[in-house]
Amino acid sequence: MKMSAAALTVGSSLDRAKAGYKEGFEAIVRQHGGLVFSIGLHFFGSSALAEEIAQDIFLELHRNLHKIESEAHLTSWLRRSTANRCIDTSRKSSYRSEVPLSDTFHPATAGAYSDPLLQETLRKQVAALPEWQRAVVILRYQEDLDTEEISRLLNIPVNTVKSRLHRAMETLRGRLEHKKVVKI
Amino acid sequence: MSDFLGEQLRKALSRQEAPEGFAERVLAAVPGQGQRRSKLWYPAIAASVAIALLFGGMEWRQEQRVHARETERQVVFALALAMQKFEHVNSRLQQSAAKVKVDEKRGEL
Repeated sequence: MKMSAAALTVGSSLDRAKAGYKEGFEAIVRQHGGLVFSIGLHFFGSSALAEEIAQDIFLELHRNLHKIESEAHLTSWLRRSTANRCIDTSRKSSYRSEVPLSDTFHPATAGAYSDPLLQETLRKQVAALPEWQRAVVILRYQEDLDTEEISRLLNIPVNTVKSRLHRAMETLRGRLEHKKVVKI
Repeated sequence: MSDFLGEQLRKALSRQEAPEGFAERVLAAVPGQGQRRSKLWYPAIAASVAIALLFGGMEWRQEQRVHARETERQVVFALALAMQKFEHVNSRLQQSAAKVKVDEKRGEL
């Protein structure tokens, strides 16, 4: 089976990074920066905090490059480390998304909303979910992972993932209907 | 309708690009990050060190030779000076001895 040019490049970047070459590590940061930064951004709703966490994650990756076996392992390592770091940071700092319901209330009615408005409201509501529900929703909808993949990644039972995802969706649906942004 | 919410979540939570300059800031924070030498350079580095040691050794031996010559010159000079002094003292002694003989002869007369 032939490897795609992109996969070959990434593989080479990982090998070069592991061999100690700066440009190899730089290519990894550029390729996966969006993944790590976006998990933090959607978790906290804060670009500054997301960048701080992303920097820490890549520094930790640099210290642990010798443990990374493949590109797939690298991606799952980044997802797992970032999600766990976000949960820990949120717990330690008692950080809660400062998004009261009234702040995101818009007098839109069903059928009259715009997608950007709904998506902005959804982002804020996701950032206000309990930590574990937030992590599961972000991995499900940002990273497009199924419940089994999330289960393996976070090392929790599949049924726990399903129940957290279900509760998160119910919460989001309830809040959106409460605010009359849209009837879902 | 769950699919609708899921679809909206996918759009809302789509990946964003990291901020501009993010990679540079990460690389600047990596300790001891730099271009590592390729192993192909190792023989060249070893050869350079060997050549430097060879020329350094030759230079050291040359300096030793110059130093030895200077020491030899100083020893010769010191010997010549000592010889000169010795000859001077010897001539004074001879003069004194001759004078003593003359005085003895005069005393006899």
